[in-house]
Amino acid sequence: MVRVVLRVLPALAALGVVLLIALTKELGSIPRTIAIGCVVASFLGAFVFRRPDVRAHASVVAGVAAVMAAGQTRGGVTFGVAAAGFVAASLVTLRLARRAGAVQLTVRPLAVIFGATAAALTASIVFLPPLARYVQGAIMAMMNVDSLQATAFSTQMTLGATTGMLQSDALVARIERAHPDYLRGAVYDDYDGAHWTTTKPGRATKVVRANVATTPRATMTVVRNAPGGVDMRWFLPPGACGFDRDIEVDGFGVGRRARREPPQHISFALSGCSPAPVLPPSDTDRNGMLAALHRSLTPIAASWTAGATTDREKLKAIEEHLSHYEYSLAVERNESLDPIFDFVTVHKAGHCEFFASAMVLLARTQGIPARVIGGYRVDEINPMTSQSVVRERNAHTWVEAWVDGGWHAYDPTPVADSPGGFLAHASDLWAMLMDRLAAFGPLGFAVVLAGILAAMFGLRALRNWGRAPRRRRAQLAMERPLPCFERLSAKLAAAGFQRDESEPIETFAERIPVKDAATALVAYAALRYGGIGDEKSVAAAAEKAVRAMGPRS
Amino acid sequence: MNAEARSRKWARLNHILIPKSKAARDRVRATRIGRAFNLMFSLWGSLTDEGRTLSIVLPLAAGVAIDVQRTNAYFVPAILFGLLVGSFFAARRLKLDRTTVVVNAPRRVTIGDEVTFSVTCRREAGADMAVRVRGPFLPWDGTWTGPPAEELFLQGGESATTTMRARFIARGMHHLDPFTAAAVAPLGLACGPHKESDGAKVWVVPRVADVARLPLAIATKHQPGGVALASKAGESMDLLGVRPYRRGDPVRDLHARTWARTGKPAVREYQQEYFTRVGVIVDLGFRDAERLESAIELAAGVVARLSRGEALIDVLVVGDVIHELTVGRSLGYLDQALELLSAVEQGPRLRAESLVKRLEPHLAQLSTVFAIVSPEAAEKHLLEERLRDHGLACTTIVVDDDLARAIADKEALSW
Repeated sequence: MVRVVLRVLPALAALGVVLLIALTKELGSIPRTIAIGCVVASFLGAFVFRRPDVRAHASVVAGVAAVMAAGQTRGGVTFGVAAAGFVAASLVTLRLARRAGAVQLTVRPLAVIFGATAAALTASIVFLPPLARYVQGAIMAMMNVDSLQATAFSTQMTLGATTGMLQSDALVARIERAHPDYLRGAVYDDYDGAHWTTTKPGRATKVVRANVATTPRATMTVVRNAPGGVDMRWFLPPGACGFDRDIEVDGFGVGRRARREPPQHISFALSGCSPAPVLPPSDTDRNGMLAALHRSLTPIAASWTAGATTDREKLKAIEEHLSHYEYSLAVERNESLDPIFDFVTVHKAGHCEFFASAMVLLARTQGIPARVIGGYRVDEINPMTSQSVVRERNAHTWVEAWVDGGWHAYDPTPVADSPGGFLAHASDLWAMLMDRLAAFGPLGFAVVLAGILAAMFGLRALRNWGRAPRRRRAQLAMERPLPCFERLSAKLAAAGFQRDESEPIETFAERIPVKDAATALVAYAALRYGGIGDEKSVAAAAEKAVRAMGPRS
Repeated sequence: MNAEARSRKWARLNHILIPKSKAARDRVRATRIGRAFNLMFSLWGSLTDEGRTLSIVLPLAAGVAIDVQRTNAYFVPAILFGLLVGSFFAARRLKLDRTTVVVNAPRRVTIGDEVTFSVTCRREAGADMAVRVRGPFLPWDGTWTGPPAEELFLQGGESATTTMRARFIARGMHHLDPFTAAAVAPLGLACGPHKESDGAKVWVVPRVADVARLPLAIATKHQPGGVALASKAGESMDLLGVRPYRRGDPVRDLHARTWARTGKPAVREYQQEYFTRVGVIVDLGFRDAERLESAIELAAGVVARLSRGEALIDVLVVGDVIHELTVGRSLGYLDQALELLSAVEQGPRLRAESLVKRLEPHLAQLSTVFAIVSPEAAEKHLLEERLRDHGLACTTIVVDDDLARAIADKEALSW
């Protein structure tokens, strides 16, 4: 038992690190999945290889991978101590696997080793983060990139900021029992020629109380926070209401939450209740753009909406025109022009931010209040879980315009559906199972551990199946004397010729006066220990000897 | 191509830039490039297997932990880096003074079989130390098998021994680089300056095919004066049998056991020395290297079979080279023939006329010749004719596909 524990020590230590981090810190589903997979690999590595040193090395390497995956969060001192414990456990197993003798605990070398380790750890903690910031700043300066461009879904949106997100498959959220088209998370109403900004009236929040009476309900699991920004928000479908908790909603109907609030579940209803009221259009929604740009876009909008009489028709006409533009993430711009004017008149290619911005500004020139909405477009359903899946590449901007006394969504961007592949769906399924398991807390992980151990021992049993029993049977067959020998021995014992326990059969035969019996014994010994002769003839000789001794005994 | 041939091919390709012989390797090490490489690998060489594994894991872990601003995963590579660097410097001070390293290995090993190296470290005096033994970098055909050598605990004035196992898949003399022993730093991640043994030499000899029976010529030839290696030159010592004593027989020839058994005096009777002296010819003109291996195994099998019987192997012809032996009747050594066979490589095709001409000085003594030839040898029949012209029986064994398969399957072969 002790040997088994020592063998799986790195795997157990890695499991401990993963459990500690998963239960106490925010750990994304992908790192968590990788960590658990590596822990399983670590346990398997401790058993599947024949050579002890290979087993130990494999188990340690997989354990390091698990600990590294668990470290993909701000684990702090907890993680540091746990990782140090894992390394210590790994060193013990590695040494034992080498059949190493006494461990040399010489003071000076040990002091050098631990001193160097402490120095490396301290230096990394003190110098690495600032160094990384410095290097990152230098690289961005070298590439002439403004760091503000990374702040998608904050109170300010720089045109082009979501480009990186639009190429990422990272999972953002899963939605059960509902398939909304959009998740709304940011509203931008003021355009200054380069950025969209959320103006102050929209940021005022009020609390919407929990109301779980409404059914049917949908549940959204937030897997990963949307990147950056000065505040956090719930990305919810338009019209969502009846939340299972009190949440703050701003004047634009966007759910806000505390920055340090971890990713979690929220349930809501999409009908049967009233969503939080959204403010009517402000002046910014009507005129939030530069005058020069207004003058430039007005004739274009007028020509596009010629013939349209109502606001609804004008919006449809603009949407129709923009739908013929090309969708492109590699946006070329004429730096001397306003990016939207350049998009509408020169290059006629861009991604959703340009389409939405152009439609909003063109609508405003026609006196229609409109604004840009940031969030996610939901176009993927995992067939394995029947859940809507939201990924970073689904980040999207679209338009809300004030028509007939209400805000209505318009989406001028010609984006094709991009369903995930089998692997992505399987990964989602696995991550969902892990989430469910994590919901059980330590019990869930105990179940996983039990499964791992069962698989491990099953594998071992499978490997040995059929081999050991055969060997054992063969051994038993070899060990058991032939029945004829047992009968002859019994007969001889009855006649007063008892064989000593350690007496060789040949020596025993020499002191037997009965010739047939002696001959049979020698023949039996030759068969048993030399493989000479055959069983049939030996049995016959023994039976003959027994019969010959019969009357006298 | 069978699995062994494939592995041989890949192993050779894998070592294409590494010189085969120790002398050539030593020459490369002495060059500037060699010295530069030595310097580069000194750090790697000072790590134990565990240290090497962690040093490979370290950059990978560092790559994963690159996001040092948002994660703390970089703690792990930092700890590993500290442990490795600390172990490296700590191990520098652990010198194995007054310690000798001696390697014992068998002189010969059959190709494909494991050879065990026994490495003994003796420490004349000094503090107790944990010592790790490491084998040399093996030539292309060699691989270390089994678990790594056990770590030794050396006390002053004592010695300790560990074993390492290796397997070679090519014939020939293998001159290995020295084995090394070095003190291990605490935690077992690095080793100190090492001590070297002498280089070890191992002959890797061919497998011996199972030759159950060979057709030996009945006609033996009288060897006047006895063969050179007979125990009593000039006096016949071949026992013909035992017969009843006749007056005048030497008393020392009386056979006591027969006299005791029969009750009548009997004497041993001797005859002149007659031997069946044999020549073995191995053709090296095989196109296929694997077929040549089969032929060499068969030649080894023929020699082994003959050496167990009454025949003497007088001549072993390998390609164009004639080796004079006297193997058989415990007069010579099978190992001698195996070493000769272990060094052969593919050669020119069999040329019967010139071979027989060069063999002429030996033909008068020989009774029979076994020729192991390739299917491509065009002059095999000519060779038989020429040898028969000299009054010799000649058995030609053509190593074709069937025979090669039988040899590979270790079947008992008979002619």
